[in-house]
Amino acid sequence: MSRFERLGRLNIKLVWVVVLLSMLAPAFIKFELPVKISPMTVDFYEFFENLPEGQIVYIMNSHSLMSYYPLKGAMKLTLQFLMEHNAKFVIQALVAESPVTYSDWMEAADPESYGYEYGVDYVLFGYLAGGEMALASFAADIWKTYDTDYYGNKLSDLPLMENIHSWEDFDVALGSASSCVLQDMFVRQWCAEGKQNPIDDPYGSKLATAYIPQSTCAPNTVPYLGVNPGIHVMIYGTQGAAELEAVANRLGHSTALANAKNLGIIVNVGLIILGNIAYFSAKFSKKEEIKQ
Amino acid sequence: MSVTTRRTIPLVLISACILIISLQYFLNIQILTDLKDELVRWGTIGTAFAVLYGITVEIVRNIRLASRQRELNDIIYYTLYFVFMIIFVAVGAMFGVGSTEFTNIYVRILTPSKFAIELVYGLMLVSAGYRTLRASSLPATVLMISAVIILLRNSPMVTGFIPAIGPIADWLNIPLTGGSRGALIGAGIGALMISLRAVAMKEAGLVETGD
Repeated sequence: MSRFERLGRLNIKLVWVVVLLSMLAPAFIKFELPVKISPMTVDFYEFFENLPEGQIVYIMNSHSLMSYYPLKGAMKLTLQFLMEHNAKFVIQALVAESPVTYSDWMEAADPESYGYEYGVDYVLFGYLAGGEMALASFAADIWKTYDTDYYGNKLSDLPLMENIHSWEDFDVALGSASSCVLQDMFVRQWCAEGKQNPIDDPYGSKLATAYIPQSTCAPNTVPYLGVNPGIHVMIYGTQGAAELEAVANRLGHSTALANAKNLGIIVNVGLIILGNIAYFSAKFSKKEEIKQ
Repeated sequence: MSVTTRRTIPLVLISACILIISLQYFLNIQILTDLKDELVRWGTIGTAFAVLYGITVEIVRNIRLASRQRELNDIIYYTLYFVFMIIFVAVGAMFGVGSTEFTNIYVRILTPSKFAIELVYGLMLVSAGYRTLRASSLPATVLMISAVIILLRNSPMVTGFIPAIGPIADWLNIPLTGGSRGALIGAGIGALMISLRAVAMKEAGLVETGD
C-alpha cells in the first residue's frame, strides 16, 4: 500500500481530534481571519441604518437554543439597530424553546441602556402552537390570538399594544428561524401580495421585510430575496452574521464563531481532498498491477 | 359508534372548513374573513391540545417502559427522564417559565448537552465526508463538488480570498430551488386532490384509520 493510499485509511479518531483542535484553536490563539463582506450583508446593514425613526417592528423568533447561539451576534445587532432608530418591537415565539432565548438575547442587546421600557417600547409573546396557523392568527388579530404576553401581563396593561392589533399596524416584519420551512410560512403570511412595500422602496406605507436564516436554511431563503412578494433584505446565516459585525464595526460573538468555522471548514475540505487523493492513488495502483 | 358520528359529521365539518377558507381566498366578504380567522385560531387551539396529548402519551409510554426494566442502567436511564421532567415542571410552576431559574436550567444544562450531541453529529459528518465524498462516478463527483462549494461558501475567509465562490454557490440555489419547488408543486397538487375529495365528503381516510 502506497503512502497516498494510506491517507484514505486514517484512524477516524485522529480525524476527529484534528477537526476538534482546529475549531478550538481560536479560543486559545488570538488571530483575525479576513472577512469579505457580501453585497447582501451591506444591503441588510443599510436597510437598518436608513430605517425611519419610530417604526413598529414585528419579529418572528422561531429558534431553539441550538440555532439561536450561532446567530446571536446578528440578532443582538439587529435589535440594537432598531433601538438606535427608536423602533418599537413585538416578538412572537413560534417554537417552544424560543422564549428561553429572550433572556440571553435581551441581556446582550441591553434595551435598558437605550432607555427602553418593557411594555412601552417592546413586548415579548410566548410560544403559540400551530406553526403557520399561529403565524397567520397573529398577523390577523393579535388581541384574539394572545390574552397575555410572555410574562403573563394582560395586553390591555401594555401601552405599546394599545394601537397594535394586526399586521397592518406594523412597518417592518423581521423573521428568524431554525427550521427551513419557516421562511416559506413567513413569506406567505407576512409578505403576501398587498401587504408588502415595493422591493425598490421598502419604507412605504406597508411592510418592509427582513430575514435572518440559519446557515443551512440560507440557500432556501435566497430565492425570496429581492422579489415581491418576498424579502427585502437578508443575511446569509452565521457567515452573514460575522459580516454584519464587520460592516457595523462591532466585532463580537459571530466573528469569534466565524474563526472557528473557517478553520473547521478548511480542515473538512482538506480531508475530502485527502480522501480523493487516496481513492485515485489506489485506483491508479490497481491499473498498474493489472498492466504488469 | 354509528357511521354518522364516526364518519359523516367529521367529513361535513372538514368539508365546511375547506370551503370557508378557499372561498375567503377568492372572495373579499367580511363574514368569510371573520370565519377564516376564527378557524385559524381554533387550529392553534387544536394544535395545543395535540401537543398536550402527545406529552401525555409520551409520559404514559415511558412509565410503562420504566416499570418493565430489570437492568440497573436502564432503570437509571428512565429514572433520570422522570427526575428531569419533574425538575422542569416544578421550577416552571414555582418561579414561572419566564424566570431566571427556569431559563438557567435550560441554558446551563439542556443547551450544553444538546451542543455536545450536535458536536458528535458534526464529527460523524466530517468523517463520513472524508470516507464517502469521492469522485467515483459522475453523480458522486457532482455531489462532492457541490458539497465542497457549499462548504467553502460558508467560510467568510474563503469567500474573501476566492470571491467567485459566492456567486457559484448562490447559482446552485437555482437547481436546488427548482427541484424543491417541483416536489412542492407535486405535494400541492396531491393536497388539492385530497381537499377536493374532502369537500365532496369522499375522503374517509381523513377521519378513519385503515384498521
